[in-house]
Amino acid sequence: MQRVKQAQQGDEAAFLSLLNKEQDKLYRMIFAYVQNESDAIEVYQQVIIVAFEKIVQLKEPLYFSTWLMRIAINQSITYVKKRDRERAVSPESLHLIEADYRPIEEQLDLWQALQFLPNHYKTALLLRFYHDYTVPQIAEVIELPIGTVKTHIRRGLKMLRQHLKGVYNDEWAKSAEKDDE
Amino acid sequence: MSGQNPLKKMMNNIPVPQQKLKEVLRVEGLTKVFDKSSQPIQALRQVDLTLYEGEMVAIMGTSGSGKSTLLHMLSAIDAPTSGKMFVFGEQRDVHLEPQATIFRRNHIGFVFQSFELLEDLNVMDNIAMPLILKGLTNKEIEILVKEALDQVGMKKWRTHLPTELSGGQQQRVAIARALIAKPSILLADEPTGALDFNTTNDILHLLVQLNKELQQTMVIVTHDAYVATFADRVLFFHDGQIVDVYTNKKDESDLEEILEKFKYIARGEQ
Ligand SMILES: Nc1ncnc2c1ncn2[C@@H]1O[C@H](COP(=O)(O)OP(=O)(O)OP(=O)(O)O)[C@@H](O)[C@H]1O
Ligand SMILES: [Mg+2]
Repeated sequence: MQRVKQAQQGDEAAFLSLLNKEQDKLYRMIFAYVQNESDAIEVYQQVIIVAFEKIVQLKEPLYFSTWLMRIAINQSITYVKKRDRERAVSPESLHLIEADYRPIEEQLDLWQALQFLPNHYKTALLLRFYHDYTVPQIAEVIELPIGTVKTHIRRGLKMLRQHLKGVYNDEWAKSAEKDDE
Repeated sequence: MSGQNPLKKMMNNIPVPQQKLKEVLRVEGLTKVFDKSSQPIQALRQVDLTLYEGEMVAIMGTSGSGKSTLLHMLSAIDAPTSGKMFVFGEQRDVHLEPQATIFRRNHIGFVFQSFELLEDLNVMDNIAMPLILKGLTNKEIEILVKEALDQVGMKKWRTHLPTELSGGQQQRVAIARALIAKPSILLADEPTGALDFNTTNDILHLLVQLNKELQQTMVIVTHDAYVATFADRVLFFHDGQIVDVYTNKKDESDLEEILEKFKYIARGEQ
């Protein structure tokens, strides 16, 4: 955690080495919201800039990862909202929506189902099942009570199952729902 | 949840774009012929090489294969017979004076096997030399030297003369001197060649640490496969050419594989 302290004193190299461990997961998390590579890269860069600016405010070095994740989630959601607003006012750009990523066939349904979820459910599920965060850790990232997190996970899974009806991934969502009770 | 649930599997399949590497130095068709004697020697034959920011490259190869010659060309200590050189993507003629001196001052740090410290100067003054040549003020020099002494762990020895230091300590001073002017690239010709195993280890760890912390681009010529395991990339030279390249996997250096390749190159097979 020495690195966090160094980064807080403005040591860029220390900051970059902290990021090093997180970067792939961070990028994929952002991608899950923005859904295309060029936007994901843009948001990723923003996240790094914001994080470097704000790292002095981080009180507990141990929370670096969850703190960084919170920034990434917030930046992603803000970015998507703004993007959607801009698209709404200029309909001619609608056909420009880049869909440059298409998951492999067996994961397509799950990917699409995930995109149907409201952001707070999506966030809870990604943190729980992609990042393997515990419920209290998730509560910390999204700054909501533990009870609320549990509800988000439960409802998120339920909604996911509704979209996955009859598809093989449904099995997993069903069992995950049981596990988390 | 343990293992790979479908959500995790799906997420892990999202391709992460590779960060585009920034090139520091590039040579194309670099050739060096020594023709002073009756029998001209082809020391380098059409070498193409790009060095990227922050990477640590090791160069291995048989004796006389052209490793030192390459470093001399890269650092403009000597001029190639033909070939182009690019500095941060721009083609430059750096091998003629006075450009050569300016180029070396601004871009190159060099570490030799035999340290090459100035015997009459103490540790601090040796380290300060590149800055004095650059014309920095005493105040600036003082601050930078202090920082450099810390980086290589030689603060306690700052007023000693080189002759009062061990080999490893002298090499630490030489490394500090090479890095003090924040060169674009550090070139080291067998920096551990004159050191025992434990000291080699210390110096290596110091270089690796500086490479990571300062994002310092480094090229290290070495006969020691162990040294090469610390590099991101290992180039194998034979008869003036790069005959093989080995890229280290992240976080796991594979000594066996490098040793294997080195043996095979040393036998002169291709
Ligand atoms: N100044 C020079 N004049 C003439 N020939 C030279 C000169 N410098 C190097 N050579 C020759 O060029 C070839 C490459 O030499 P170089 O010093 O680059 O090899 P090396 O790979 O560094 O070898 P080593 O591992 O022994 O240091 C050798 O045949 C050498 O004899
Ligand atoms: Mg040599």
